Amino acid sequence: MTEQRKSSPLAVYLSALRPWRGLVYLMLGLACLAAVLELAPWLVAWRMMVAVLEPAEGDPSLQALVALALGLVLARFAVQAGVTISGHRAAFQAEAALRHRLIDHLARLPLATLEGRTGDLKQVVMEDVGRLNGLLAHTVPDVLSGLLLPLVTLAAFAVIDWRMALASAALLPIGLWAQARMAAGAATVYQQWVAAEARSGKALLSYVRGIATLRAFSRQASSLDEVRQSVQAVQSMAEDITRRSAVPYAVFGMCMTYPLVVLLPLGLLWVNADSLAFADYLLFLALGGVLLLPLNRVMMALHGLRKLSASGTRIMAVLEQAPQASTPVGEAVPADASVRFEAVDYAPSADPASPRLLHEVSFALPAGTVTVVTGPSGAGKTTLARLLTRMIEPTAGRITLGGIDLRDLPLETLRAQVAIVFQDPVLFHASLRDNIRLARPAADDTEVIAALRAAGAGGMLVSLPDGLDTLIGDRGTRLSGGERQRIALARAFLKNAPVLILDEATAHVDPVAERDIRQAMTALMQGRSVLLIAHRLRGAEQAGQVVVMDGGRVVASGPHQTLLADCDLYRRLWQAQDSAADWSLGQAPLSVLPATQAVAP
Amino acid sequence: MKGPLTMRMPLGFDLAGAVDRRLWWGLLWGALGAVADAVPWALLVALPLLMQEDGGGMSPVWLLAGLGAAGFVLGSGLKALALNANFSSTYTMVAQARLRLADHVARLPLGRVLSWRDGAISDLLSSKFSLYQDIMTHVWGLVVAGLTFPVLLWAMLLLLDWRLALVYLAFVPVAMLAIPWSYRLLDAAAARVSAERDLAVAGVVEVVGGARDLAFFDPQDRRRQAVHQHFDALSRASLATEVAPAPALASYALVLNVGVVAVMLLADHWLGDGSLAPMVLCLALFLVLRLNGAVAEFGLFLAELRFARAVLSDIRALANEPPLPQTKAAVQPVGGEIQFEDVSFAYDGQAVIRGLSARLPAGTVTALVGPSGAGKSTLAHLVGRLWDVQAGAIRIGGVDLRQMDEATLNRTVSMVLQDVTLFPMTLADNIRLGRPEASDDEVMAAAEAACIHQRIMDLPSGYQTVFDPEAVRLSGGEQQRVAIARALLKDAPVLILDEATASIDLDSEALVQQALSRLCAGRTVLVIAHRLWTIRHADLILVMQDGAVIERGTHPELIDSRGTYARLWQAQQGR
Repeated sequence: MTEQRKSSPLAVYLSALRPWRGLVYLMLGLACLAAVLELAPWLVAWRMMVAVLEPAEGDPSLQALVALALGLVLARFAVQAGVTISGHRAAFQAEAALRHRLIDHLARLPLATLEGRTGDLKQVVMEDVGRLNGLLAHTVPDVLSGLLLPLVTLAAFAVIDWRMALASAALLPIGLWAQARMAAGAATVYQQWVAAEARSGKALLSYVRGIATLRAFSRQASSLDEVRQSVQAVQSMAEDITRRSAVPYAVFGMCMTYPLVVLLPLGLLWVNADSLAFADYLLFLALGGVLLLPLNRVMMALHGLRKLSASGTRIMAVLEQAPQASTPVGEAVPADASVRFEAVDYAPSADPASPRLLHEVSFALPAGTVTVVTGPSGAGKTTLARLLTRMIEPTAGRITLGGIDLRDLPLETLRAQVAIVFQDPVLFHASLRDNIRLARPAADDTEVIAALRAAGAGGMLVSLPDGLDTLIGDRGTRLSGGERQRIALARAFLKNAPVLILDEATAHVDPVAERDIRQAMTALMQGRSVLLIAHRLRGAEQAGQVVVMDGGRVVASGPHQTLLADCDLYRRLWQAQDSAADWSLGQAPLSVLPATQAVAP
Repeated sequence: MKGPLTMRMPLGFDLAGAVDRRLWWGLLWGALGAVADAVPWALLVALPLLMQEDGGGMSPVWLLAGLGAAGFVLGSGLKALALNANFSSTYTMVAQARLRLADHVARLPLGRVLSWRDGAISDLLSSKFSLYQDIMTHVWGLVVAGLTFPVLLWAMLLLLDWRLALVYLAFVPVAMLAIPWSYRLLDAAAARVSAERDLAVAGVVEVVGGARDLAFFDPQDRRRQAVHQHFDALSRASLATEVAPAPALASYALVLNVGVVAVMLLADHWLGDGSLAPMVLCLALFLVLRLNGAVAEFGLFLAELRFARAVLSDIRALANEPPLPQTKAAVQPVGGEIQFEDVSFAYDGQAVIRGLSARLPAGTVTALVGPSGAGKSTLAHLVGRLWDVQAGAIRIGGVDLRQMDEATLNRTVSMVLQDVTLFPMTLADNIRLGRPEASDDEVMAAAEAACIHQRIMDLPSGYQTVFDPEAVRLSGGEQQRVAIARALLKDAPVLILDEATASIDLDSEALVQQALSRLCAGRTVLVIAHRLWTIRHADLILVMQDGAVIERGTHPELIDSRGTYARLWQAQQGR
């Protein structure tokens, strides 16, 4: 693990390429060949010039040389096509492989670590991974050929005339100095750049998500500070980088295009002094003009590499997150559907000073009973559900299912034993039928319809345009909060798991439907344990027990009637519900005040 | 959007609204910088002339060195200037275009925004836009130099031997035909990549955003398997896109090289008949090869613009969505009476509201009740002009909504929706959304009236707490009260409550109710509620079904008439 952390951020890309290394080597070989072939027309042209200016016996015909030049150019096309195809083939496959790996890894992380990170993680899986083809199919061949070409040429030059070889490389040190000026601090700047882009991406995501609210207040992006500032931050950062690197960038470019300017006078000097053959002078001029141009490609490629390493770092950060610990399947089987919370403490961070959300919570959910958990907000009700589903882990104490500590239970087993309906369930872009039978794809329409009816959503079969075939989810038919909850309930009923958790699962459902659901559930839940987290206590009188929580502690538990008699908080909650229920719009506001004060925190 | 010519400005600079003047300076400096690039080649062409001057041998060497050095210094300076002007102006314009496009999204009918797949618009505004930004900023600087340099080389060739120059030139337009061809080849392939990419993005958003639900309901990971398949499809489509334009690009380079071959063969011929000097042939050879390299590079570069074109066409698809028409003439409403006059509205071809008429007197509470899908929310959204009616009219204070400018409508109507959205800015600013110019005291007064002041003060940074759903855990009822504070601060005469009374937590319920009672006082209220007892004191109750009002009256009247409302009421008494 530590070794991995030390390795370069590019390593994550390279390791993804490993299965396709044959293709990668092929591409590298072809890229070298293409680089050499780039010089070919100039060499042939030089031979032509010599033949024209200093004709000699045995010179090839000009036509033959032209044909040779054309042949070499065509060969270069073919080789270049090979580079493109092999490079992209390897890169796109490796990208897919890396995305497979990421998405599988994300599925193994503790669920709580994914909350609120959808935008970021989408960025990593799509954009950051998507830089791989740029790296392999463009950066690597460009760097390779861009370095190889000048090196080979310079070596050849040195063999012919070392003075001219030096002269042709005379501008290189200035160019390298300019490069160094640009590179100084560039890594940090580009990290900041990527971060600035990510920030504006996040701001824009939350802007688009909240567009209905913003429309209602006729607010637009440019009137929201975070959106405007984050977009402008990208711009001003870009301007800043440009200002700093404009001169070295320009100097570098000039160095790459100007070797001819050094070779022309010096060569002429030595030709005049008879220490350089005119034919050789021509060769240096022919190749000298384009000798260093490939280094431009190298620089552009290296430029891209900086953004790439920032992306690589972010991919690695995701892959290095530890998956949730789980025991192998089959080692532990819960005896029944009973659940016990035993002196459970929970604090969101390991820091001992951080506030604890739960204090020594203990209660039991006997198999086949319904337990209602209630209490004012902030009491820790939802934390119980998050713990029981292992979205988070207790800081002390333990939770057992069928007598087995959840941590000793394979995650798959736990998830198979539990069905949960959240207050804000997510439905998927699929038909209503497939959404409901997600957990049991083999279920037939009769079972799906029965589950829908039990969830008080039988009417949707008629009201939705295509019945069970209606596409729902983010781009399907728009559903109200209550409809979404009922579909999620149907989904949970069909799963038919031994433990059912309803976390404010009917908050958006109207009371008639709620009553129907309660009746259906009583029939469905025979022999199953139900944990019902609710602020509305209607129906609590029928539950086996009620657990009253406040400030992270269990204040009281027992049957409804007992609590009504013994527990002050419970009695106030129960009465508040009645007075809240009496409230109506259009009445004088004062009529609700006594009840309000009774429960105000 | 078919070809580059139909675009208003090929690089999409028009999206920025105004052209940054530095753009034109960059063009000028860039062109002059390209002249410096041509200096070495000009010196090369002048070499025979200099060598003929046998005036001591030293002077041509110094002349070459001096001119070369001058070109180097001038070129560096001009290019630095060009770079600064080009990049600063394009980055500025891209940022402007991005904000303008984001603003544009807020002016579209809400239904059009919702019809884009979740994440597609923000993906467009963020990652696709940064890709576009990279391309555009680099393209702008390179186009100028890329075009000027070969033109100068060709002019030198023309001076050397006009016949050779014209022979080469004849091949360039033929080769250029391949560029639009490469675009055509690519368009189909690129559209597929774009579609596959959108599917993959939506899939990632689904499995990450819905991870919690999938963990318990998708034991076979079918949704995740589907995303895997999207990744593979994307990979295949991407490769196809890279290969697709190959025939066109190969033809382009081939035609150019045939041009070079023709120049060489004709030069050989003219050498034979004595109309071309050997030295001129050599110099022409230098120029033609370098010229050919520059033209080939420029063509490839034009072909690379396909990425910009593809991204730009996605961006334009959003930019071309027609916004709700806005009127300039601001007719001021008188009073807060709402009138529905034979209002009809259909969404995706399905009638949602059918010829609905009603009058809601100023300062009264009107409730909309009825089953899901009856059109209650749509009707409420129409009053807030999230959509426009398709027939009939909605008037507030006697003025048709479409005759009201945005500012007036915003002053007139407040909405509190069931799904409260808080934004990643301070809680004070979240409340101030209702009235950006409100003072801190006014914000606090609104929060106090909405029963959320104390809760905010209990947070470590109070009103300056930046809302972040992970760090700031506000319960549903608390978020609701922030939304109510927004509406209180805005203080508009017309108020729409869309299921805002369906409260989330019990202790909040009473506080939310208290806040709502304060919010409604003295306004014309249109409220959608499932729980009938919360609206039994409403001045008017409209019972909706299938987009029409089937019963109307006060609670006692409707109970007496023993219709649908009475039955619903009866059912709810069983709570």
